[in-house]
Amino acid sequence: MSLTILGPERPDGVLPAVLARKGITGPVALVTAGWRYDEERDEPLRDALTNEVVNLRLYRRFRRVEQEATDLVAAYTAKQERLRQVKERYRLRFHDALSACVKLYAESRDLACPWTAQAVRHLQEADELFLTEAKRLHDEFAAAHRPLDHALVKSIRDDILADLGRCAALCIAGGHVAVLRNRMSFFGLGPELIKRPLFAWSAGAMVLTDRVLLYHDHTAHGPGTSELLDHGFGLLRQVVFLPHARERLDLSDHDHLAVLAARVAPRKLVGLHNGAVYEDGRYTGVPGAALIVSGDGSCHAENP
Amino acid sequence: MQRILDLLAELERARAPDRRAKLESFTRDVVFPLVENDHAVFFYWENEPTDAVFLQHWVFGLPSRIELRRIPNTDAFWLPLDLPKRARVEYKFEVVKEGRGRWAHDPRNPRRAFDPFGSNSVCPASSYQEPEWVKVDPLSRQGLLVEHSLVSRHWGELRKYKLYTPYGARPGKKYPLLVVHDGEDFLHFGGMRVLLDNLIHRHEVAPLMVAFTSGVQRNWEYAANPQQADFLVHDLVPEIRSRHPILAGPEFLGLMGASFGGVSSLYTALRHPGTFGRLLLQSGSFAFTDIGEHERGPMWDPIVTMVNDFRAAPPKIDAHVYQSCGTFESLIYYNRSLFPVFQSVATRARFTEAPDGHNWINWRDRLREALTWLFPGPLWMYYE
Repeated sequence: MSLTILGPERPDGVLPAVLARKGITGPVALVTAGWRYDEERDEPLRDALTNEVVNLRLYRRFRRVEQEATDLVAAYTAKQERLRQVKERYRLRFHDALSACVKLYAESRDLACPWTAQAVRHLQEADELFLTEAKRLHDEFAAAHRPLDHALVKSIRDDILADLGRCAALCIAGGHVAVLRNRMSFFGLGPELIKRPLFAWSAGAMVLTDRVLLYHDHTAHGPGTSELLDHGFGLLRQVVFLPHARERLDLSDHDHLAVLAARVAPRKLVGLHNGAVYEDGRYTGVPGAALIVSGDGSCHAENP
Repeated sequence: MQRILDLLAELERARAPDRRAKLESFTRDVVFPLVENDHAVFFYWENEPTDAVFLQHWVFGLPSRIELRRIPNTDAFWLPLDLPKRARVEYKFEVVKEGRGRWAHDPRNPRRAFDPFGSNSVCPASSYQEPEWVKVDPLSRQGLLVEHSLVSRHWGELRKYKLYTPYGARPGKKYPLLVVHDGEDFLHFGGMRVLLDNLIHRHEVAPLMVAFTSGVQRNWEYAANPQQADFLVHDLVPEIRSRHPILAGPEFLGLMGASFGGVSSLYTALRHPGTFGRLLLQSGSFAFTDIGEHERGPMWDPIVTMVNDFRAAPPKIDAHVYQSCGTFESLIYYNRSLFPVFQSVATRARFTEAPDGHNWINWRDRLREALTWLFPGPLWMYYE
C-alpha cells in the first residue's frame, strides 16, 4: 500500500509536486465529498495538476440515492439518528469526566498518579464504548438493509469503481469530515483504498486513521470538549491527525494536551500544517509543518 | 493622561499670546479622546469663546451630564474618565456659548456610531477591539437578500419584510428560520447581512434563513402587543413556510429583537408557547415593579404588566433563551433580575453582559456568541 498524508492544501498545496516526485502521470481520482454542495468546484486543483482529474462525485451521487432510494435512505437516516442519540449519551458521560481528568492531571502533572490514571481510563472506556455502539449500529444497518446490494446503489458504486479503475492514484481532500467519511463508507470505498497510491489531506487524512477525533479550542464559547466522530477506515492505527493544530488548538494548554495524548495512546497526536508530508513512516515535508504532541502536552516540530 | 498634564503645566507657564499656538500644537493630528490603558481624556477646544462644556452620554451609573474642566485662561476643556475593560462609550458634547447650550459631536473625534436617530461620537477603551467578523470578508460568499410583502390579516394591511437566504442554498433543502424585529435597523446599523455571510461561511453558524421585519408604529406594536405576536405566528411564518423550505420543529425557528424588540420576542413566545424554540433577547426593555407604579410613561404599561405577570408565575418556556444587556444601560437591573427566571423555566438560558450601552454596536458585537449558541454551525466538522 502506498499512502501519503499531506498537510492542508489550501491556500497552497504540495500535491502536484508530490505526485510528480512519485512519478504519477496518469489520471487521478478525486474525492471532494467533504466540500458538500461545492464538491465539483475543483477547478483550482485541476489547474494545479498536470494529471487528468476524475472527480468521483460521491456527494452528488449520494443525492441521487436520497432522491430515488427513499426506503433505504429512510433506514439510513434512522440509523444516523440513533447514532446521534448514542453521541448524546457519550457526551453526557464524557464532558465532566474530561474536566475532572484535566484538573486531576494539573494537580500532579503525573499520569502515573492513581487518580489521574483512573480518570484517563474512564475517558478511554467512554471512547471505546462509543465506538463499539457506533459499530453495532453500522453493522445492524448493513445486515438488515444490505445497501451495497441495492440495485441503484450497486449501479452507482459500479460507476464509481469504473471511474476509479482507470486512475493511477486516489486523492482525498478535506472538508466536512462526517460527510466525507459517511459518503465513502456508504459506497463501500474502504477496500478500494489500498488498491492504488493514495494521497489524503485534512479531513481526508483524518478518515484514514482508525478513529476520527473532532477538536476546536477557539470557538465563540471557548474550548470545546474534543470527541470522537466515529471509526475511520483504519489504514493508520498509530496516529491521530490534527490538521490546522496551531489554529484550532490552544497549544499553550499543556494540561489539556497531555490528557488528550494519554487518552489516545498508544496513538500519537500529530498536528498537520501546510507543506507537511508523511510517507513511508516518516515526515518529509516543510520543516515545522508536522507537529508532534508529547506525553507532557508540549509540542515539537517533526523535521525531515 | 501625562500628555494632558504636561499641556496644563505648559499652558500655565506660557504667556497669553503663546497659549493658542500651544493648543494648536497639542491638537494637531490627534484623535480625541486620548485613551491609554483604558483611561480616557475627553478634550474640547474650538478656539472660540465658550462658557462651558458637558459630556452627555448614555452610561447608567454615571451622572448623566458631566462638566468638563476648563483649562485656566483658555477656552479649552478636559475631563478624565476611567473606562472598564473593553468598554465603549457613545457620547455628545453639550457646548454652552453665549449662555445657550447645543449638543454636538466631538469635533476632534471621527469615530461615529449610527442609529435611527442620527449618530454619536464614540470613545472605545483601548482594550475594546471591533470584531473582525463584522467586516466584509472577500472570501465569504454572499447570501441573497430579497424583499417580499404579505397582506397581514392581523394588521389589515400590506407588510414588507426582507428574507436572507444563505449562499449555496439548494432547492428543496430545508433550513432553520430566524425572525428579526427591527430588521431594517439590524441590517443597516447592526451590519447583520455581512456578519451572517461571515459566520455561515466560517461554519460557525448553521446556514439559515433570516426574515427581517420592521414595525410601522414600532413602539406600540412591539410593546407586548398581541396583534404583533399573532402577525408573526399566524401571518409571517406561514407565509415564509409556504414559499421557502423551512425545517419543521420549534428548534429550527428563532425569534430575536433588541429593546422593545426583545419585549415583543418574549411576549410572542409566551403567547404562542412551543412555536419559537430559539429566542435572542438583547437589552430587553423588561421593566417591572415590585411595588407601586412605574414611571416610564403609558407606552410601557403593557410591558410592565407582562413582565410583572411573568415574574409572578413564570410558565415553562420550551426554548433556548440567549439574553444580553449592556452594563451601561438602565435596563441592566431588569435583565439581571429576569435571568434567574429564564434559567428556571427555559430549556436552556444564557446571559451575557458587556460594558456598552443601549446601542446597535453593542447588539451587533454580541451576535456571534448568540447565534453560534442558538444555531451552531458545523465548525467542529470542517478540516479543510
